[in-house]
Amino acid sequence: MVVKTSQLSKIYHLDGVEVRALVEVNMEIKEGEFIAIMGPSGSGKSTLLNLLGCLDTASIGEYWLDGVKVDKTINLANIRNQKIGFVFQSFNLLSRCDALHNVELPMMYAGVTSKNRQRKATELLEQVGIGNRLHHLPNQLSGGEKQRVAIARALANDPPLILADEPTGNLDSISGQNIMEILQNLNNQGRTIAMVTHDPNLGERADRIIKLMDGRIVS
Amino acid sequence: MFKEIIVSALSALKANKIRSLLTTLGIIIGVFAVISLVSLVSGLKKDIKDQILGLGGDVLTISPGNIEEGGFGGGGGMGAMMKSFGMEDVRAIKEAKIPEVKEVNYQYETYARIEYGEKSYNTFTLGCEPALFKIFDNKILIGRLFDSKEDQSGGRVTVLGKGMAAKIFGSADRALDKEIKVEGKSFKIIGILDETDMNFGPVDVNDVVYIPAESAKKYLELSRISEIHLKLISDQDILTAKRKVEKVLKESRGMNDFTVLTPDSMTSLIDDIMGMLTTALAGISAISLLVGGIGIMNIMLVSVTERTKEIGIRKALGATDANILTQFLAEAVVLCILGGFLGLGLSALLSFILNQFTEVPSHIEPATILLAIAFSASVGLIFGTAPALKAAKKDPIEALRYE
Repeated sequence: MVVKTSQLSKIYHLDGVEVRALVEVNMEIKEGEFIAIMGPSGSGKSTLLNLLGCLDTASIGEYWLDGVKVDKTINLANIRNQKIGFVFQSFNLLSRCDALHNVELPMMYAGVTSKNRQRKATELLEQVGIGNRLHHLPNQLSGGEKQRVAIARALANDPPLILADEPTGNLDSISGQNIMEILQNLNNQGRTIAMVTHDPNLGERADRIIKLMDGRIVS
Repeated sequence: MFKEIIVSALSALKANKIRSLLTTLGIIIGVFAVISLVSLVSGLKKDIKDQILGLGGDVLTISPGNIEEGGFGGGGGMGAMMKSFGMEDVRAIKEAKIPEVKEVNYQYETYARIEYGEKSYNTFTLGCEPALFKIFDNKILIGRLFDSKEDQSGGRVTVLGKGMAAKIFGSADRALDKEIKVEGKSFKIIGILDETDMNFGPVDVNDVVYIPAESAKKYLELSRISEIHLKLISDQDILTAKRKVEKVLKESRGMNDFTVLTPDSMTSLIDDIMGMLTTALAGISAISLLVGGIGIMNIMLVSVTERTKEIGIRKALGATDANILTQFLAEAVVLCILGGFLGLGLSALLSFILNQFTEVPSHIEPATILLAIAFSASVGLIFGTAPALKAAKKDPIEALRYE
């Protein structure tokens, strides 16, 4: 089991008003699964993603990621570095760094030596089909290429879970198709992927859909 | 990791070249000011010390006024008159027969009017015994020095520094055997001294007019001796001789209103004065470093806000708060050190130009360089901390959302 949550809840207090963004979510993601998280805006998708991605901790409930209990007492930065690979809607590459350096970044924070980083990053970029673009800056790349770099970066430390947040949201349909194919290929190779989307066509390509509504899982 | 931090800091600074340069301008100017001023003072100190040591290590100089009581140089006016020496003091020292002292010498000093034909100068004039030339190692260029017979009889002869002779006669060799008027009395020029680097404070030794001590007393009506010089048998006896002379003079004058200067005490006096000057100047220049530091902090704060998204991305990828703190702190420190080196380069250039084209000595000491770089690095550390902390504390979710 890569992900297991029990009674996971997130409550915000805005000007003294209690906002329950996520209510008693129980879910599991098995190793090698490709799940889609869907729901209208305000349904708690982002909150769930932030919790799963260890960018935030739950108010109530428990979250186990790859055998580690995630709460305030552990170093979230290290967990993110080792166990999560993020793919964002808006790519979020560092504009000053070339493709290679962007992919190296998570490995740098993991303390991998420069030589090993470069070798691994080159391999990963070749694997996502842009081995010929190693030294291009993000603004010299097309949207689809940027997202490929981002996927390569997400794979850098071989994390047990890849979190993709609307990975095709900023792409034209052809590039979007290509990115989906890459993700499905990765899944076929055994990677565990959780993807947030509001596109039903994309959701159908996942093994399973988790639907959220008003902070609760509805199906 | 260290290398990566520096490389990453440099690339961040390179991305905003003009801004980085402008930001560090305060540091550049600050370091430039500190190093240039300190080097100038240290060059001056070296120059003055060289001149004092040029006097030789075996000469004691007795000056009126007590340095420890703040009366160095007599203070001027009536006080100075009272404190200056008379023949009775010279006699007292001579009669004490201090074994370490080889020669006792005294000098009268005044600014006298020198005339030759239509030309007239107001110049530093020394009334001295012939032995003074020996004490100060003056070499004769043309003619001869006056002897003790001419001194004792108050002969109307004079010896000129080379510079003075050249001023009056165009060149030194034309001066010999001419008659000049000193305060209206004619003196015959019997010798010209060779050029020397030595200085009496503000007086250029090459412009001095020398006449026998007795003649100064007789014709220039000088009665108070301004300095007594003692030539010692060896420079090993300096402190013993100093103590003995002090005892003799104190007894004969009844009070301690004089100072016996050894070459060491003169250089340490210079050290004291220059040390104070250096501290004051460095303090003033440090203010510009402070202002530079505030500029660094200001721009780093702007930069942290601008790069909120970058901070969010880095944190999502696993950067710890410490990683982010180090990154921004390194940028501030690297920026300041670069500024420090640029300022150093500028002052090295200034020092080179001063030494090459002017008489102003400038001397950059290695310790000064180290101090300046260490100082600019600390400015970076101190003023970079607040922005770096701000960056490190950013919430990753909000930072990622920032556009």
